[in-house]
Amino acid sequence: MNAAKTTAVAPVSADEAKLAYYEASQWSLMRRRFCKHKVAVWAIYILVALYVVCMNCDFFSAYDPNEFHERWVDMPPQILHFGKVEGYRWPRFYVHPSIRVRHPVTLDECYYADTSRRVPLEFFVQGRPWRFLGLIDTQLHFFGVPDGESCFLLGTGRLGQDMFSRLLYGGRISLLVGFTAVFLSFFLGISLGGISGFFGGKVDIVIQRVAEVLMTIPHIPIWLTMAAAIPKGWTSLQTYFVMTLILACMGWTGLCRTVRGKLLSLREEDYARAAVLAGASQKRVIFVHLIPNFLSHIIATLTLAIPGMILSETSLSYLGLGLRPPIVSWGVLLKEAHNGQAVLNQPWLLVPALAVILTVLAFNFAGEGLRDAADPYST
Amino acid sequence: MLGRYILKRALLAVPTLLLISFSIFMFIQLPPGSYVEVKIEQMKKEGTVDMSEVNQLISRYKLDQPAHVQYVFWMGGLLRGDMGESFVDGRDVVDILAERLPPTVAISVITICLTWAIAVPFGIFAAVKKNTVWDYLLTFIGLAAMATPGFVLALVFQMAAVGWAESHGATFDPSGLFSREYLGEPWSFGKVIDMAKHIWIPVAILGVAGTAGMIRILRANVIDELRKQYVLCARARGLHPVLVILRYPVRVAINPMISNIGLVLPQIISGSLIIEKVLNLETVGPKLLMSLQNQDTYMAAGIVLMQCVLAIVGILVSDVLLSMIDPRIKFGAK
Amino acid sequence: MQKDPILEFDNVAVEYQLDEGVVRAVNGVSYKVFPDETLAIVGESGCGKSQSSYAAMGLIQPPGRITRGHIWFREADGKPRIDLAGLDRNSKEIRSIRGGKLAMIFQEPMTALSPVHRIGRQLDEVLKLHTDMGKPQRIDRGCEMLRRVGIPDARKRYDQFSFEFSGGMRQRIMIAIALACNPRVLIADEPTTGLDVTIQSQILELMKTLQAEHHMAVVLITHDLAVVAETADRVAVMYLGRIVEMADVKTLFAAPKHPYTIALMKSVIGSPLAADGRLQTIRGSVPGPLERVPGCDFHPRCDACIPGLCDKQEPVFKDIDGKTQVSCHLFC
Repeated sequence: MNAAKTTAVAPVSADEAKLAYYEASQWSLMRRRFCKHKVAVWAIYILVALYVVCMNCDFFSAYDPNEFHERWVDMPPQILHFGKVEGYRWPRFYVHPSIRVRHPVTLDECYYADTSRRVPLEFFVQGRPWRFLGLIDTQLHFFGVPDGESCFLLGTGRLGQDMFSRLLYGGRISLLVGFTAVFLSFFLGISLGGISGFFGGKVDIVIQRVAEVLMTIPHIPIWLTMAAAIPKGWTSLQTYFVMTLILACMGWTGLCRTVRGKLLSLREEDYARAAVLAGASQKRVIFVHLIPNFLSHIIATLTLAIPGMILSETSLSYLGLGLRPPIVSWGVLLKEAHNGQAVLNQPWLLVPALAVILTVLAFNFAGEGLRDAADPYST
Repeated sequence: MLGRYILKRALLAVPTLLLISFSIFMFIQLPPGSYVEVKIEQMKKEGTVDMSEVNQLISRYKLDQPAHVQYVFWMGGLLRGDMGESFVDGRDVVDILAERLPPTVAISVITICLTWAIAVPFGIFAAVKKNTVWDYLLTFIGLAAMATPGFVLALVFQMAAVGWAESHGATFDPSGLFSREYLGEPWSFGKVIDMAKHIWIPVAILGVAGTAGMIRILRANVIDELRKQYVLCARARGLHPVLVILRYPVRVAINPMISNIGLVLPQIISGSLIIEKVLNLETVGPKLLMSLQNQDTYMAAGIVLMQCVLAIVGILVSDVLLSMIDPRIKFGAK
Repeated sequence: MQKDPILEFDNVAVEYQLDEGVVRAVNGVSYKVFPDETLAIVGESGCGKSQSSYAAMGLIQPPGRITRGHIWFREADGKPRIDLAGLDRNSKEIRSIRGGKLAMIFQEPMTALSPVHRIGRQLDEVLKLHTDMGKPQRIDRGCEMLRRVGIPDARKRYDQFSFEFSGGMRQRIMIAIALACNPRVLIADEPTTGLDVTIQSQILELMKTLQAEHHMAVVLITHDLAVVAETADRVAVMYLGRIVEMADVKTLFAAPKHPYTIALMKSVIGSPLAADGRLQTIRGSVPGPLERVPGCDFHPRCDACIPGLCDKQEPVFKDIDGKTQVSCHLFC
């Protein structure tokens, strides 16, 4: 802890800097190595921004995600501009209003941007009510446009819902719904792997057998049949949440084997023997000397497991096996892009896919950075 | 030695299989309702409810008996090579599998081969060029490929195909494995050729994520081996630097991947259910999905059981392969 | 009579270009090695003794490179000498020399052999590369080498894997591989580090015997002064990438000149130089790889440092009495 403090304060002399480096704890060394990894640091910033915005989607979105706007159905995105607006002194963000017309030749309905008018975006405006952190009633929103105007930055869906708002609300579900399950499977994996590697013998054999059987059973059939067995009265969000927990009870096997293997090999290391000879209890050896060795490894694995959970939510919901409307998630949103033709006509329907890719990519980069930083041999 | 080992493992697998098959059967029966109800519902929609047909179904498959009796009935059939009948199609499960397995296996095997063919050279390249522009580029492409959900890739591809067809005034249906005239036809030379024309799209889409992941793993493994002393020693013997890398670190790094081939086996049957469904392929995956949703017990249980058998065989194959290619690991020594 | 040197370092420098700056691993090293002779290079870890030998083998990996100097190597008496420093590290010329006429054994014998190849395979490889023997001849030669390094039951052992051998046995195998092609120079980089003391002396004894048979020159890199006293003919003491003192082994142990050499000897158990019988340490620590001190490299840790001279001016490496070459202002 002390060492971490000295590194945080700018060292006065070169000697002190050296001393701080030599005395630095494993964690502060890891942080140093991580900070060298520029892309990974940026990935962390992006993730923090994503989570902050999606957690406060009520504040950042201009519309209710399920509100229908029959005047603006299947509308392409209104592009955000920056410049002078009539009646205002300083340049500001504005959009052109979208006008619905019938195409003279094909007679299809289509939209065009009325470039003669500029609708300014207002920031920190009053709008529909929501609760900050579920506690404080407020009507404050990050941005909005005057009544009667429209501001669909990412276009609208089949029923005229604002895609931007839906993207943020969908993010809140997609980014969070699997979290508990990921932690549950990690908890199971580490504790069962720990028990297996620690006690050995019969306990070990039983746990490894169970893990082998669980690894053999394919997950999708389990998912489908279990999902069908859950009472009909539940919302699809509740069902989904419970399902992820059930799958977590099957998904701990990989980590369990890793932890067990690491414990078994680390137990033979000289420093572990030294700790035993120094009179440390077996529990102390495991928790003080062995576990910290791969805690960093576990954190990195965790960072790489969360994107897996996001990807499975999107895929399952897309197939109609996961979340279902009126719940909004990225997978549910992508369901509107049901085939190539739809995507060709309304490319903005793929925006949630970009959000998924960005999030998963950021997690992957952060995870890579963490893993490199956690590896004491990396240069 | 090897034969005895395999025999021992196979015998050990029998109780495991029995346990698994029983749990599968129970699992599939778990959701409320049964195919009989689905069937009656269907008949109601069509307007005529023919109870005699329903009763015939019930008596034939002992659907009025408890689940464990049905299980014994099913197992008895299995031992005689009869996997039962698909309620939905009214055809033998064996027949449906015979129709759907060849394309499924073809897609998976081609995908796996292609994945290896691309991933091995690129993985080695990335490791040798560690921390250069090439490495960063490969890393970025790889991570992006792994971050893209398969169905999005399929969608984008379909979009491109439709767009291309529109601009060329042609009609093109990118989904499916066969042209319309071969659908439901028995296997023939023409059908195989037709499949060969269509198979590349699903293979490409299925292979992307796997290839990217494998490049990452191989890169990490090779980098780990490159800093070992024996690589330096081989170089000090005067061996050509390319040979040094191929003969020593790559040989060691590829071991765990070869042994993982066995674990890929179950994926041969349901490689990626989701992509197969989106692309509407005539493979086993979508069939499994449909049968599970329709309570088509024998169809679903048959497919799942096959997957489990492959998984068990896969683990065995992995263990045998590993002990064959890595002299440090001996049979039975775990 | 003086024969031609087989291996000659002439003012060689090796630098590593890192993001943080330039690391001068070897900074102007010159020495000669003659047939039948053992030259020991001694120094603390990180002083560049391994790096200088890697330079001769063409094993310096980027971002490191040889930035100046020549490494002259004579494949046979009377043949023109070749500058190894001027060859590309992957060139055909240097590959035909390393492993053949110029061989090296490494520290850590535990990891020096491939875990998944038979040791015969690795012995065979070096013979295939550097000789034109046929397969059966190579197997005979390989087994003969195994016998000569003291491995019983050679034909059977030939087909075994490295994990079936102990550490001492593995180092013997490494020696067998290195000597398979009758090299003229053997560079031994800490060959006995990490081995039991009894095994250590067996390995050193073995190297001596084989050296006599082959008229090899041996460059022995070590930090262990006891090993030096036991095996070397001449000794070069390195500090921070430079040779600070070079003399024949008797002169060096009887009358060390450079303050660093003296300090090094005082820090050995049982050293007669440690006056009160207590073990001495060298004060301060080796500066970081990126740091450069003005003047003599050793002056911040030197007891005999002359302020105004040692911290300003670099000492010159020169012969002071016909026996010892030293780089120190005290002897100018």
